[in-house]
Amino acid sequence: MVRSPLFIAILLVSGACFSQVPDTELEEVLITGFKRNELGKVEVSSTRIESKLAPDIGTILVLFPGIQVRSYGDVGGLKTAGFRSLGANHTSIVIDQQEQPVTQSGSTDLSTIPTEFVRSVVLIRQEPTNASLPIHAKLAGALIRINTLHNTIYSDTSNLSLGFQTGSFGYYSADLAAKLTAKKLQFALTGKGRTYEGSFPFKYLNYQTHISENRFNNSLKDGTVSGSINFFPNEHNKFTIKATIDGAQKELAGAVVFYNQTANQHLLTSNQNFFLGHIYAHGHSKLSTNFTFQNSYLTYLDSNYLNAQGYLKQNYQTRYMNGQFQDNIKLGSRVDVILGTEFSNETIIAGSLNTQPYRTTLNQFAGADLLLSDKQTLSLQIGAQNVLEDRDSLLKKQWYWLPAIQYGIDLPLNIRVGLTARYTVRQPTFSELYYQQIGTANLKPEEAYMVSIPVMKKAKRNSLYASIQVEPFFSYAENKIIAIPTKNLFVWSIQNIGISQSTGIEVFSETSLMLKRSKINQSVSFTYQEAIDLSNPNSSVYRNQLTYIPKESGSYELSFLQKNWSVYGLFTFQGMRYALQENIPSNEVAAFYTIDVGGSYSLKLKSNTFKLTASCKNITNQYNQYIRYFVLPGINFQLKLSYAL
Amino acid sequence: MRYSLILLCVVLLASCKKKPDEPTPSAPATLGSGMLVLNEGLFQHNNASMTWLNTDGTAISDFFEQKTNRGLGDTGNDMERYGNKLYIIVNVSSTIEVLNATTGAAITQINMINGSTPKQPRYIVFKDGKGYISCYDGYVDVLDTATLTIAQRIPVGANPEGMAISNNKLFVANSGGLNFPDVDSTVSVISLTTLSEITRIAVGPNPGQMICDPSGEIYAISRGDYSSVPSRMHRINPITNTKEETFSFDVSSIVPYGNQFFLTSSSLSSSSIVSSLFDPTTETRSNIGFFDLSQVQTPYNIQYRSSTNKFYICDAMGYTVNGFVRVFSASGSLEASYAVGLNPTKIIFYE
Repeated sequence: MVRSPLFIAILLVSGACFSQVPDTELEEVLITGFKRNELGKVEVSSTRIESKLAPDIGTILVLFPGIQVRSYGDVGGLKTAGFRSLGANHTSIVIDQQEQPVTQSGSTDLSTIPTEFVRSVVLIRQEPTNASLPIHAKLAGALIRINTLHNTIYSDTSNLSLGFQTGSFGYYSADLAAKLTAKKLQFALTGKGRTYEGSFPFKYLNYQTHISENRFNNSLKDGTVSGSINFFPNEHNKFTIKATIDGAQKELAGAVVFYNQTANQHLLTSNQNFFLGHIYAHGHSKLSTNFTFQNSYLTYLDSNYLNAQGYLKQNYQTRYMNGQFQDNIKLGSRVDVILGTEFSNETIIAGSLNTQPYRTTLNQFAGADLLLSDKQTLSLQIGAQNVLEDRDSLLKKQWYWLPAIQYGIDLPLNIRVGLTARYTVRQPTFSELYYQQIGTANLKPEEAYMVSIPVMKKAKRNSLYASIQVEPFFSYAENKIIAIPTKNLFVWSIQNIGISQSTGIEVFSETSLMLKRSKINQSVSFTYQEAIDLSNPNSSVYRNQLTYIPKESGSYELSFLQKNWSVYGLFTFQGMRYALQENIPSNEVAAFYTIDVGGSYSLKLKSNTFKLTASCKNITNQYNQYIRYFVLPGINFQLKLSYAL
Repeated sequence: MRYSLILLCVVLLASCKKKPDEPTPSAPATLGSGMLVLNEGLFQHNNASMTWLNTDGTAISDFFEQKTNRGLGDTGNDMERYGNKLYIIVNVSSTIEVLNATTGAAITQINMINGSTPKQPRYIVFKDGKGYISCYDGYVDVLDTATLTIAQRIPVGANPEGMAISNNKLFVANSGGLNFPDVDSTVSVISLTTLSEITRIAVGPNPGQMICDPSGEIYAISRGDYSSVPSRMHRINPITNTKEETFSFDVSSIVPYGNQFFLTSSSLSSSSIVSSLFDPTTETRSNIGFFDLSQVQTPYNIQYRSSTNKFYICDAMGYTVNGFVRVFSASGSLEASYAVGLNPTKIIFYE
């Protein structure tokens, strides 16, 4: 009987329970040839994530090629991730097995996802037969999977860890992780709370004058707790229960407005998330079934709003339910197929919407990974997406066929070349459909066609390991949903009028040099893309670069790891962007770079490990902004003391 | 690997290469014949601006910056000349910029923040040495044009917008736009003797523009809900402080045109804009559609200049790209177009 990889992982976890965390990861790099789904896949490990002392996962995603993180602030500021000039609504964020619900805005706010419990972040291009990936996410334009220690495949976690972190501008956080693995059970508990005063100095350019001010109305208090139980009654079954509660209270600093520093907006959020999953593996078959429920509350307050009440208070409640079933069957050693079905229902209750909408989505999914020969693979998937929703009392029903294909072939010199193609849609969000005055109930989904040619090469010489991946791409989006003013600047409308095209290349490279007791890593990520507006040939912005899509962006990281200590340096770069559609000098947002450095030292006392991690971000004190006038801090420091048992 | 590093370095260095700055024409030291255009900009982009247009059509797009060495701010809403001063109302920045009308030199910036609440000024009108500024916080501020200080605040209705003066009274449109859909529908009447509100007149939902005709009667536009409730024009008697007429046709804007009004109305069902003439004496509408506005994508403001007998139309295009001032003959033929800034909203003519 061939056991599934999952159960092999479970056995590894069981065998490794109560084992200690290595002081610093010095994992051996093995060259084992290419795996089926490696083309285009990029992974950042926990070692790289932990060293950054990043406030959220959005800060980590700048390390990926093709990903554009739009940051509207520092700690707690909204951050979204788009892929190859497609809007953030085309990107699906999956934490372990759960796709993050995006009922209201259509995109995940990455600033709410902590990094402390993350074991890896993976940009996945196509893995149709991976039954642990949600179906809806597999049909999206891009899929970013965040694996946490709640996932049973990770055995590198100690039983208990505590961390206290402090940083510039009044940042304090505490986190706790506990994991207990017994023969048939794994319990995990994680929690984090943080406060942030957020009053950082910044500069901005007012014509030719640099103005220095301090950010205010930028404080944050938030917390999250997750608990999970994995139960393995026998080698064929695994049950998972996970519950997460989180809440945040934050001020919204907003864009800097010349001569007016009185913004006084607040956001209160709370989410309750519940997940129940079951995997049954027997013989060549693996059946995955799971159910998710999330209830969310959001309150937006503006105490300076000039209405009759003297303030604005908008409440939103959203409910999201998802259930899915996938059956993965191996047909011999060359064919792996999967069939699946998924149901999800989303509702939102809000006074500021024209109605109380709901949406039900049914996804039928079929996929296959084929080993055509020893050197050729073919990966196919197709989704049938059926959307039912109540739009202004008219029940809308829509069908979409969403195909994707990836072909790969091994060439001499350890080079692998592929071709990927995908058609995807993203549904209009409830805000776009129903928001008072601007919502348009007859919106069509935004469609995107994506093609790329990934080329990978791996090499190993003595203790030097290197890989490089170069991926030229082309994508075309139509029926893009954009908000435009209509009658006047205060009366906007959401319309399906956008067409865009993006052509570019992504480069991702990693090099590791294993020395006797140490390791040197370097990682390069670079994206070049010409993303142009093709909406209207008669418009003055026809073929202009899209707003906030830089032609060039990238990062370079160099780290040195020894048994007890490590240091790193990170350079990130964002090319010049345009704040508005017209590619004219007055709309330019200056290119910027940041340099971060940091290090850690571990001290092991019997079974106790103490670790001190420090980082200095933006050491050249560059005053910068991803989005015009949403300023980010200059030089700042973070210090963390952690304890692991 | 070294090749990828070299590639990265080359691309980054190429990206960092600064483009040579294009020479910017200098603003004239003294403003002769030409037009000064206020460009509203876009909310939270700090890109309100002023363009100086010479008679030969050359433009100085950073007029305010050249004159003051700083930016105008966020959402320039109104601009008027009174005496030898220019007053620019900057809505989201909550400031009033005062410039010398002859040279454009900065005189002062008046802060319009009340405690921690921005007043959000919208429009300004003048009489007898005082400026009256409608503020979105529900007041009309009285500006002493000699000392350039706010002398008094007069409470009115919600989110006041346009104003007009007649019979020593100030008529203020209370839009209530920030209470949408529960908008205001009144016009406040303020005595310019006592500087206090006398009464409120019900007109129609969401009042905006106010105009005084040559005989002193007040015309107000109620903008409805931009959907099922249409925009309408109302006539107010400035002596009795009563609404005397509501006209049954759509009106989006009123442009004084000699002794007549040039009216525009935008269709709710299409993007077309219809022009017509209105005689306030006979209260009759004529020449419907006589002026072909199809050559203007988004008429954001229309002004008539009697000295040239031409119409000057601020074309906001798609609102997010730079606009134009389009010059039309009185019979409606397009004569010239001048590129200006983002969302041009007001022109002051220099003869």
